[in-house]
Amino acid sequence: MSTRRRSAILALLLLAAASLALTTGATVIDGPADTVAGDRVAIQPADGPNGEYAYLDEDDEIVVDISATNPNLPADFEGVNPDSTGTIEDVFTITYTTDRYAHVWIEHDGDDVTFLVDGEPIEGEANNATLAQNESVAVGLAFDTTGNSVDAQLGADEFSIHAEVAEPEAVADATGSVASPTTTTVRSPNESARVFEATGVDAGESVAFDLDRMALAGTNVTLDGVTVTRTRAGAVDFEATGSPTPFAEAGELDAPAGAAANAYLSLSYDLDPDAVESATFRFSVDPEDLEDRGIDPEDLTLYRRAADGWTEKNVTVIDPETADAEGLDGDRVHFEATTENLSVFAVATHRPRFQVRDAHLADDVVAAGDGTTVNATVANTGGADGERTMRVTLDGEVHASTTVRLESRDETTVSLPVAPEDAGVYQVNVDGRSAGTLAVEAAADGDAEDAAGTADPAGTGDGGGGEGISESGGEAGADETTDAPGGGAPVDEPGGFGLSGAFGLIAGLVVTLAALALARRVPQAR
Amino acid sequence: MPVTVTSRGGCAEDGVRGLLGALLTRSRPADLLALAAPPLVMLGALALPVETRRALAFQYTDPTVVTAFTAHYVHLTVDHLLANLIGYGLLAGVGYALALLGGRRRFFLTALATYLLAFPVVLSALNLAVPRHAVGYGFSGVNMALLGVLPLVMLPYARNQLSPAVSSRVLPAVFFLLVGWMGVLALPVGGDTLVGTVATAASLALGCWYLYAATRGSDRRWNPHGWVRVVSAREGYGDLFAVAGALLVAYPAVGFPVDPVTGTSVLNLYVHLLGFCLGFIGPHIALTVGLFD
Repeated sequence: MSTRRRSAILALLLLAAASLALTTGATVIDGPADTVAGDRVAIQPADGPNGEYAYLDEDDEIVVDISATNPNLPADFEGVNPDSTGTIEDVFTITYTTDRYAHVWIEHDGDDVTFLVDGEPIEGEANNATLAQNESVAVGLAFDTTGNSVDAQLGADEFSIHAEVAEPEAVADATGSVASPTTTTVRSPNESARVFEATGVDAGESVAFDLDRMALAGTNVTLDGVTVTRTRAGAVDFEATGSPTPFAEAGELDAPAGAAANAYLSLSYDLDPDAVESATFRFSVDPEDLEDRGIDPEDLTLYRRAADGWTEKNVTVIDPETADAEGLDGDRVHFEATTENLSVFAVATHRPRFQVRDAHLADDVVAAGDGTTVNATVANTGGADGERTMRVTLDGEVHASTTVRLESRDETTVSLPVAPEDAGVYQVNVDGRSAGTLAVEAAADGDAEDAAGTADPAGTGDGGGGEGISESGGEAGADETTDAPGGGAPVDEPGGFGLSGAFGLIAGLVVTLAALALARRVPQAR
Repeated sequence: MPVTVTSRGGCAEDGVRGLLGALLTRSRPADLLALAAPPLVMLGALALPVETRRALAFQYTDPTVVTAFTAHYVHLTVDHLLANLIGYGLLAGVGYALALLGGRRRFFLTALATYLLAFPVVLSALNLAVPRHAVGYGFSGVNMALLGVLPLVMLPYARNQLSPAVSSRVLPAVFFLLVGWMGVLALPVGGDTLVGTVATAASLALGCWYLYAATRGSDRRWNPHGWVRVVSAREGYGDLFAVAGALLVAYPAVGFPVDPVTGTSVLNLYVHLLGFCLGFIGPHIALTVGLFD
């Protein structure tokens, strides 16, 4: 049996995840902390000696590191023995800083480590600890490396700290009280903001709020109602703000289909996002405004700002009969969208977006008086049908045009005549995209390629590796010349190295691995 | 230390087997196909007649967008191709493994796609900054870009698998030290190399300064002893990190020979340096601005 001492690396990277707190609260935290929920939940290394196992990394995220690389621990610290169990109390603290109660718990999937408060697990919502205003709880951990290898490690992103405001009823429930029925309130600080709350919402229950036409872009676009469904019992607390201009935290709508934003909606909320099963927003718009701007109501849409950009939500336009049956204002166009995730939204309209994907001339050289055609592939990559006048320009002057009508995400090929009367070289563009240059011969003895400036491609340099100058033309029709060294056979410039270098590289890596294996076999000095 | 430990004796090591198991679990067939595509393309290109391959090489006196791209995928000799395939296999393989286990798979694959599709044209175009009567070809510029991204995937790998204490502030130090290392390797001895010498010295000095700035202070102190112990303790995972570190040092040693002239050809050190620098700087900026958070 080996008597060598082996060290296990037991490193936990705790990343605080979704969290909840309510309104304002004085911060009582001293020193730096890993904070979530708008600084209302703070995680810090504990004050005691075991707090040395935790520190804040450069992103101010709490790290629990029980390995030799922990900068707080002595250089001779070797970590935790494999196949061992133990407990470390009071490693870090969680503090709740607002004026309400909160349930706090930790989620992670591993079996090697259990988070403890006062010796009891705090893992899973059912084992939450309840914190009052400015109350802290010290978290320790129990580890069990039985059966793990010496390199057992618990990595990042496996742990999250959750906190959710505790209903007064829920706090009282612990002493035997009964929860109260659902109550809702809606406040209107101004015409473009609403604060709406509900308490006593059961799991799976939907709560509807009438927002009384909250202005997103004046009266042209309004948010009329929201229906929120919770996954578990608790409260609902939102603050909605509308604006015709983008919010700084989300930026301007940048939709792949080129949709244009009409208004923006920002939601701030005080609840764990996981507690919301869905939220349905009901908007309405002024039909006259749509008509003035030539927008079909079917082109209305909603985008949500996600971490990786704007994503479109499915929108349902409510037909007039349904709107009438539901008692909605018959003078407006109503539509609604349901989302499972909350953030900033943009009420937008699809619009056509035309692109010339390819354009080329049927001929590069023609005689004066003769014509040719330019062929272009035109696509509508936007989300709405539309039409566009495509213009062919010669040296920037409009020469011909045609109107193309395309459905959304369709494309077609158009052919337009090009027949300049005068000799010369013309840059031909279709709606701004180059189709190439067209050389028009002045007479039967003209030389279009000479006119185009094409020159001796071989050059007349000295061949000595870079001193000779030749005129090297580009495509037919290019009217500029390029100075370039040339002449003789060019020098080969391969990128890379020979096989001997590659084998040397492999040998170096093998030596590295061998050295590492040797190092493992050398007994460590004690 | 106030740690309560009860030893139960015995231990089970996962080591190399554990590493391979983790890689097999996390890798995706589509990724492997994407990684295998460049070698297949280059092998296919080798089957073309040599005249065709020469036509696909990038002539600096007659540049085209097409040859700017194709030049990086054609090789005129089997040895040249094999050497670049070995380099690609090591760099892309180790980089992908580090990215998988460091949680940077999407970042690495995005960088790889950029290197494979955009870098050939960019590197060829930048080669035109030094006019000369020459023809360039070969995959090593892209390989050097993969070397450039290696530190960027080593860092999250080290954090996830070795120690979360490692700071991203060491990245600029690694970059400048490697650029300086390449300068030391490539500068001809006794030549008229004042500019190169100054640039190399400046790069090394910057690298040292960044390293000092990244590791000073009690909360970020550099503990080589602890790192050696962690790397050697983690058989398999530590080996992968060590191989990546060895690649960082050894690859420039073969890619920047003192004498780049071989027979009638001249090794394109310029494209090697460009590939490495752009391969590091672009993704580093993308990470710094949070594109992959």
